[in-house]
Amino acid sequence: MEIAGLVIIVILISLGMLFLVYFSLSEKDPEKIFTRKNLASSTMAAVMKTTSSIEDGCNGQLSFEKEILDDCAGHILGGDFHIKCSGKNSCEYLDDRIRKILKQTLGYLKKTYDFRADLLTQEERKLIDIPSDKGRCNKKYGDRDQTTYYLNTGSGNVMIRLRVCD
Amino acid sequence: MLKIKSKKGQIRMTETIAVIFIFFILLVFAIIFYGRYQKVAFQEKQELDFANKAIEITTKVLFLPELTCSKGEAEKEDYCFDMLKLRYLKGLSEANLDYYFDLFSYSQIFVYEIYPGGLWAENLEENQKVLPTEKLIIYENVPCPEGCNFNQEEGKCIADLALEIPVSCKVPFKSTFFTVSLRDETESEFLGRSIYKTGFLEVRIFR
Repeated sequence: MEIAGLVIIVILISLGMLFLVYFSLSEKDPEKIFTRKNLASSTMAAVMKTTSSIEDGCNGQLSFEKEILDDCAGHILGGDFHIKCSGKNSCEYLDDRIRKILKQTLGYLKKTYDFRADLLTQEERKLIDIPSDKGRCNKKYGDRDQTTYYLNTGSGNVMIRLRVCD
Repeated sequence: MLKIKSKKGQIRMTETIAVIFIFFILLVFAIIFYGRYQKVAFQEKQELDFANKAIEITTKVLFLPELTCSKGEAEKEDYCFDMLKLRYLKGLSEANLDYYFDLFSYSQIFVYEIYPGGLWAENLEENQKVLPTEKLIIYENVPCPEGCNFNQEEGKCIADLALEIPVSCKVPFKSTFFTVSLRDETESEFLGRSIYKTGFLEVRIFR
């Protein structure tokens, strides 16, 4: 009889300890979440607001999110390129600059990310697609953060998405 | 008959004593485990408080009116620092140390220019893991240990040379990084049109 009581006590104590360990381990670091969340939105805001440098010779200091993206979207719909920077057309230039900025910011922090811009016409047309060196950010929602921008260009709306994982 | 009964009683008593003994051993183990857990939980709580402090200070920096991009009464731009303000903030923070200490406590706040200056180079692969050396200091207040002095040029605590016994001047800190826009009105080709660079904000928080 006493043995049965002892077994029950052992089971209860073990269960209590397991719960204690489980709950203490499942708490997520708030700073990590805060940083990742803000990093996605701050990086997106900063990258899209950037203007081309004088050295790139784009006929002025043009905005990534306005003139250059507009020109790139126009070409996807069959128009000519009007902007040339550093010997590249607007789409190539955007891809190259954004790729490098992301590599120097999110890449430096060893984050996995992917950046994508699509022109929203009847079917989605890809303008830019940049995965990180570590691949795409395909983790489940709790472990990744995503910022989406919708920009209105002369050729239609462009959806830009940046996903950041740990 | 009485002898058999007393033997049975003895066995039961030994059994009960054994059970109580094992129970107390388990109880002692549980207390030790709980004590260790409490110790770890306390350390975690301290880490959590530190992380919250880091979040608080970083948020203050990101939305500091002395830094954010503004234009008249228009809404302030998110994650954007005005270079004209930025260049003067270090002097301002040094002149009003008490005020900024209340805001940022013991911390170092830097901004690095990533694009188009800084380490913007074609041979990116080689430089990839190195942050640009040139940085703009916004605020600097490092709690140096006893026997160490803060060196402005190196931005860290250095042992007092007069001391005979060598001391460790390392101060543990936590770094938080954010990408920001740097608005520069002075480098624009056309008057009234702002140019935006990409920058990296680093907030180092000391315990």
